[in-house]
Amino acid sequence: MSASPPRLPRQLLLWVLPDRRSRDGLVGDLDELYRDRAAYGRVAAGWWYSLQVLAAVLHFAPRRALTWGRRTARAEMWTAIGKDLGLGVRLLRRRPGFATVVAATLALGIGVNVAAFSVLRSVVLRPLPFPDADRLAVLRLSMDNAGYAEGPPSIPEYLTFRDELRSWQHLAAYRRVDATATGGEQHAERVSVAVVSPNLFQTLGVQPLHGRAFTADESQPGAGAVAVLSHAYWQSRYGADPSALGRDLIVAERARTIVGVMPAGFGFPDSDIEIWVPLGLTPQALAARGVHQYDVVGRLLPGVSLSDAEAELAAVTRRVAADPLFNFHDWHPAFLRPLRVQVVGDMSRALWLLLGAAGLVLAVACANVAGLMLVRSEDRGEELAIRTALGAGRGRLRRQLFLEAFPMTVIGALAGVAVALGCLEIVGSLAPLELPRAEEVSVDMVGLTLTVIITLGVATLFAVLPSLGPGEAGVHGTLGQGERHSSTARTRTRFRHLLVGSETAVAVVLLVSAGLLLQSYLRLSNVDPGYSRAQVITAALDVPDSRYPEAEDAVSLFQSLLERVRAVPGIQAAGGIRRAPLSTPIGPSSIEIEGRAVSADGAGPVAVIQVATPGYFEALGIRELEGRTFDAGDRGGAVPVAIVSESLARRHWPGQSALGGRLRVDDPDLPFAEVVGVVADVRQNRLDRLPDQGTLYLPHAQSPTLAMALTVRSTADPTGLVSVLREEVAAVDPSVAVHDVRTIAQAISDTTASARFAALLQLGFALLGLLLSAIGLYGVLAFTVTRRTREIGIRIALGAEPLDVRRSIVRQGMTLVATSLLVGSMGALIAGVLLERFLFGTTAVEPITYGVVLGTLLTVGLLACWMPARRASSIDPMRALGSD
Amino acid sequence: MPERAFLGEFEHFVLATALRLERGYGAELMRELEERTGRRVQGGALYATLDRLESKGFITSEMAAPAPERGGRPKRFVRVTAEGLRALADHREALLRVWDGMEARFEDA
Repeated sequence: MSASPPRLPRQLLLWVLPDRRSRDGLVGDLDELYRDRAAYGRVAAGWWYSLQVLAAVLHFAPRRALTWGRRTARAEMWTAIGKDLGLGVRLLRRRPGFATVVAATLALGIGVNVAAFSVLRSVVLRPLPFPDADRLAVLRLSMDNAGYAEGPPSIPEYLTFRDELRSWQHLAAYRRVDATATGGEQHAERVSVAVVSPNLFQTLGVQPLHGRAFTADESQPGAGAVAVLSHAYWQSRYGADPSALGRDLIVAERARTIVGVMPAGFGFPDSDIEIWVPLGLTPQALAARGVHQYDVVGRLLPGVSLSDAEAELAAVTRRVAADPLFNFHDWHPAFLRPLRVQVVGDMSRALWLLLGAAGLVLAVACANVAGLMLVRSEDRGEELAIRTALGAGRGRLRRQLFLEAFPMTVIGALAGVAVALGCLEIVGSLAPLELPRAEEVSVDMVGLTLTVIITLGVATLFAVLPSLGPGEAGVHGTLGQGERHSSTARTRTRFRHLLVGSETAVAVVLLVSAGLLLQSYLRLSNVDPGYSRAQVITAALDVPDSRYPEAEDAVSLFQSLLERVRAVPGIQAAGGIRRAPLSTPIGPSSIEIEGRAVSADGAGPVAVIQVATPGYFEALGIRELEGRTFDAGDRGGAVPVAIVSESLARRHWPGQSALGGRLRVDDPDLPFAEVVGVVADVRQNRLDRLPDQGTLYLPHAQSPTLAMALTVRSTADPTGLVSVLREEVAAVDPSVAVHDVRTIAQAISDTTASARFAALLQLGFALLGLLLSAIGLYGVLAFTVTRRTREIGIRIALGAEPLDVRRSIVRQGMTLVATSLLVGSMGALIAGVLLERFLFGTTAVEPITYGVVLGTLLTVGLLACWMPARRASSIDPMRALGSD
Repeated sequence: MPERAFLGEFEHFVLATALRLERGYGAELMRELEERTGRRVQGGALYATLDRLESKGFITSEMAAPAPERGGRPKRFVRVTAEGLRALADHREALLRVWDGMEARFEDA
C-alpha cells in the first residue's frame, strides 16, 4: 500500500515551481514527509500537504510569473507595455478631470463598502471573543402579559433556574451599576461596576490575567469583600502594578480587597466595566422575587442545543409554577437567546441595512465608472479603428486600453482603502453611540479584496470593451460613417441609457430611505415626552449610606436640600425623583391592587416604581389630570398615598376614576396606599415608547431612599445653574457627589443620537448616490449631443429653431429620467417597508419625502439635460458640418 | 570591515542545520529544523531559502538519483561552502557578543 498525496495540490505545486531542479527536489521531499505523516492519519496529512503547497505557491508564484514573462515576451512587448503605461499616466495628466472622476468614484464606492462590510463582519458575524461562544446564551423573561416586552429575571428566579436546570454547565447572573470607588490615595470617582455571581468568569470561559476569580462562597452574606479589576482600570489607576493585588479599594461604600485583574479587552456585560464585585445573596435579595434586575447568562453543556435547553426550561417553569408551596405570584415565561444576538441586538438589522445602502452606492459607482469608460473608449472608436486597419492586433489594442485605464483604477482603489480606513476611524470615535463591540471593528480583508476585485473588474472590463467588440465589420462601419447608423451603436446607446437609468433609480431608493430616516428622527426629537423640554435640569446624587443610617435622615436630607435649592434666585420649582427621565432605565416591578385576585396564569400587574418629593411634577412640568400631587402633608405617619400615571389608571381602573383605589408594591409587609392623583404618562426610559405598563409614584417621605436625583426648573436658560446646584448640595453635605448633570434638552439629544447618526449616514450615502448619478446623467447626455453634432448642425442649417432642437434633446433625456424615477420609486417602496421597523411615527409612503426626492432628481435631471442641449443648439452649422 | 551578506533568521537556521547534517537533503533538513526550532517549516520557504543561499555562494547542491518512495523524484543534497561557513561563524560571533553577560536575565523566563 502506498500513500500518495492529494493529487490536485500536487499538480498545482508541479505547475508553479520555477525550474526542474527545485521542483523535483521539493516535490520529492513533500511526498516523503507526507508518507511519514499519513501513517498517523491521512486527513491531517492531507491538510498538512495542502498547506505546504499553499505556502510554496506564495513563495514561487511571483518568480514563476517572471520567468513565464521572460520566456514568452519579446523585448518589444515590454517596451510597448512601458509605452502604454506611460500613455496611461500621460492621459491621466492631460485629462485630469476624467481620471479624477473615475478614481474618486471608485474610491467612494470601495471605501464605504469596505467600511460597512467591516463593521458588519466585526460586530454581527464574528463570534464573540469567548471560547466556544456559540454555547453562551442569555435567559430572559417575557413580560408580554404584563404589558412590557421582556426583562431580566430576579435573584430568586435566577437561583431557581440555576438549581433546577440540567442543560447548563454554568448559569451566572450579572447587573451593571454605577458606583463610587475610592482606593488608596485616589479621590472618589464614578466607576462602572458589574455585580456578578461568582461563576460569571467561569461561565464565559475567561480567566483573570493576574490573581484569581471569585469563589462560590463569596456570594454569602458578609463574605465577598473582594473586587476584580478590568485591565484598563488596573493600568490607569495602578499603573499596571502587580502589587495592586491585595490592596484595598472602597467600592459602593464597602471596603474590598483586589483579588484579580482581567485580561486586556475583556469587558462584560459592557466593554467599559471597570470593576467586578460578587453578588451578595442577602436575605433581602433572596426575598426580592419581584425585582427583575439581574440578567442571566449561561454556558450550555457540550452537545446541548438551544432548543433542547428551551424545552427543558419550559418544563421546569411549568413544574415550578404549579408547585403550591412556591408562591410564584408574578411568574413570567422564560426564554433563551444566543448571547451574540443579545449583545448585538437591534444593531444587526441596522447594519445589514447599512451594508445594503453601501452596496447600492457601490452599484451606482460601478455603473458610473462603466458608463464613463464606455463613453471615453467610444470617443476613441475612430482612432482604434484606424490602428486596427493599419494592422494592430486585437490583443495589442486590448493591452493598450487596459494599461491606459490601469493608473487611474489603481489610484482609485488605493484611495478607496484610505476612505474605508477613514470611515472606520469615524465609526471608532463614535463608538459610545450604542454600537456594540465597536472596539473590535477592523478592516475586513475578505470584504476589501472582494470589493476591489469587483470595482476594478468592472472598470477594466468597460475600458477594454471596444476591443472586444465587432471585428473587421465594425472597423469598416466606424471608418465609413461613424457609428451613427450601425446597429451596434444603437445597442451601445441603449446599454448606456440602461446604466444611467439604473443609477438614477438607485439614487431614488437611497434618497427616499434617507428622507424617511430623517423624517423619523425629526418626529422622534419633537415628540411630546410628557414633561417640559426647556428650562429643566436634572442631576443624580450619590449619598453615602453610612452618614444617613435612618430612613428619617434621608427624608430630612432631601427636605433641606430642596429648601436651599428653591431659595436660589431664578429657580421656579425643584423636586426629587428616584430616577430622572432618560437616565438609567427602570425595569418594571410587581404591584398588588387591593381586592384584585391574581390572574390564572400567575402573572400579576407590574409598574415602573418611582419615588418623588413634592415639587417634582411642577419642576418637570408633568400634567396633573385628576386629584392632586404630593405635598408636605404626605409624611411618614400620615395616610399612605400614591399617584398613578394615566396608562396605569386606565389599565387597572378602566372606565372609572382611579382616585381612591388602593395598591402597593408587591410586598405583604407594606400597607396599601390610596391613589390621590393621576398624572400624564411620561417617556421615562426611551423617547420612542411610553412605558405602557404605567408608572406608580410614591411620596419620598413615605418610601424614603437615598438614591434620588434632583430636578430643577428655572425661569431662564438653566445651563448657568449647574455650578450653583453643585454649590448648594455641597453646602448641605460636601460628601454628597453630584453627577450626570444635564438639561432635559441634552438628555433628549443624547437619546436621539443613534437615530440622528443613522439618518445622517444614510443621507451621506444618498447624496453620494445623487452626485454620482448626476455625473453619469450629464456625462451620457453630453456625449449623446456630441455624437449628434453633425445632425444638429444640418437641422439648424435647414432652418430648425434652436429652441426646438433644445426641446428634442431635453425630451429625450427626460424620458430616460422619468422612467428611472418610476422604477426607483418602486424600489424605494420596498426599501421603505424594510425600513419601517426603524421608523418612529413614519410610514413607508411619506408624501413629503417622495415629493422632495422626486423633485430634486427631476431638477438635477433637467439641468443635466439642459446644459448639453443649450450647447447643441448654439452650434454653428458650418463648423458642425465640417467636423468630420 | 568588509561588507558581508546579511543572514536572515530563517537563513541562519537553514544554514546551521545544513552544516550539522553535512550532506543533508530537503526532507531531512525540514525534519531537523522542525525538531530543533519547534516551528512548522514550509517546504516552499525552505527551497526559496536554499536557492537564495546558493546564489550567495553559501551552499552547493547536487541532485541524487530518483527514488521510488519519493514518487520517482530525486533528492537535492546540500553542502555548506567555505564562504557559508565564514558567514555562519560571523553570525554566531555577533550573536554571542550581543547576548554576552545577559544569561542572568532569563533565569525567570
